[in-house]
Amino acid sequence: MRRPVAAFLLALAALAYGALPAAAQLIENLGALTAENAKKYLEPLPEALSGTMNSAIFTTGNVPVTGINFSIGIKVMGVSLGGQSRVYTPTDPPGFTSVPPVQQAPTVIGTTQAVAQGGQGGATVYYPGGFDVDEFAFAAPQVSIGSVLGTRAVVRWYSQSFGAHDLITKVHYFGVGGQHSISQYFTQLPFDLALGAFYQELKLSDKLIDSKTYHVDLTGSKSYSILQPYAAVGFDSMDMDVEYEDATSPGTNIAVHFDRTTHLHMTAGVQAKLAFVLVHAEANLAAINGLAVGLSFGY
Amino acid sequence: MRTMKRLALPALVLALGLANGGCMLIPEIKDRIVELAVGGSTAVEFVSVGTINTFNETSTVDILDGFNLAQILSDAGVDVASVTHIKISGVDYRVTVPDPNASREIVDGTITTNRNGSGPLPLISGFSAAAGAASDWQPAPLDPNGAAVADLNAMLQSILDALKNGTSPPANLTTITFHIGGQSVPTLVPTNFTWQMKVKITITGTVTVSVPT
Repeated sequence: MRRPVAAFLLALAALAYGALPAAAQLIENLGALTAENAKKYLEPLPEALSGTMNSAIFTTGNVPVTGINFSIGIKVMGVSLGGQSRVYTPTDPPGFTSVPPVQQAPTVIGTTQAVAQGGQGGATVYYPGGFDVDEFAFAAPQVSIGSVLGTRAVVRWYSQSFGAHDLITKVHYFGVGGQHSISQYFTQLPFDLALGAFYQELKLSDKLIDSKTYHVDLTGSKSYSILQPYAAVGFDSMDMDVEYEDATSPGTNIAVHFDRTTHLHMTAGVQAKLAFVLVHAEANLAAINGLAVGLSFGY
Repeated sequence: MRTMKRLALPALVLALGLANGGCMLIPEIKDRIVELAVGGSTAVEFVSVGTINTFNETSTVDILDGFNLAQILSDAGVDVASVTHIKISGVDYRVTVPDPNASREIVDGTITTNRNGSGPLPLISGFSAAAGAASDWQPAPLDPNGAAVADLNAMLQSILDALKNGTSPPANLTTITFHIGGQSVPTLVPTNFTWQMKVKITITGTVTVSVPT
């Protein structure tokens, strides 16, 4: 067990490196599953990604109408997976008829033990173990720049290529969106208000995991000295595709599509500004409830 | 001052939330011993040709000619010493070269195995399939008796044990004689098609994975 010292560096490292061995083994675990069972095995993943990726994007309703404002920093979003399914009931693969007792198998976040299911004719199918994960964290570097006509742009980006012989050859993460001041049209509002929209995509090895999310929210905030409480209400929408090689038919890929899901997203948080340093913390009610923090530098 | 008092309660709630969920935002990297399941397969090809149209064919193969367990484990990142189970998960078939007669069918087919005097043991029974067109892999019905599957499981275990010991299993333990029986219709037209049988294998092994959680 290793516990790095710096939280932000650890979270980023977890995204970039720590998660990769797990993702590499994920490929092998998927290879033995049919598309239907792979979907059940990965069921907790889309909501975990949606709950984290769509958090901590907009942390203020204050978007200046004109002038230059800029910030660069890192956001760390975490969710608890306590309420997610840790087991699933597998569907018999083609040509395999299970005989009682029918076993439940662990999902990707479930227990690490594989499960054997006996079948007719003495056949056996093993379903892979999970990774025994209770929490899921996601880190994202974020840049924002404004303002033009009360609008600022926000970008998230991370990309890393690995060797051709590595099981995970590439991680590509990209997000782009913007926030537009509503307050400028309603000058009597007692707080700042902005409408934001954000698109993100996360790809592992081009096609292993390909997820796309959309987030729209209305963020309100009010400044009190260095503190700025904020709240937001909006929605997240996400779909995910997974593609992997069928272990029993080398050269044949299996594609799994997760239907688009949409969730209400509500946020409450506090941002503090100390000279050129911005820190914030927030709680999110979304696909999975979670917390997020961020550290940025800018003006 | 009044502002700070107003903010005190939400700030306290947020702080408690953060403290309670500290692990959520500061993930630990933990090592997990994960038992993964990987698949493998070995295929055997048969050429069915003749005019009698009652199958009575035998084919003897060394299973190791088309099955490289070491490679499967290496590709999956599993050390051979960490393999926990290896068993048969099913049998598929496909027609690779179709019969000239598009209506060609196999009916009431059976396949038995004989390994080092263990058989014949029924592997496939009640097998019917179209052979007039090339096909993708399709499942074949395992004989409910299960004796051939049990024997093949024993063979896989001997292959695994030999691999763990750094040796090769004796050829007589990995050589299987398949016997194919059944009818080919239409009966008045000579049979001539090629097909393959694929034995699917399920393997579990443990790997240590660093997981952020």
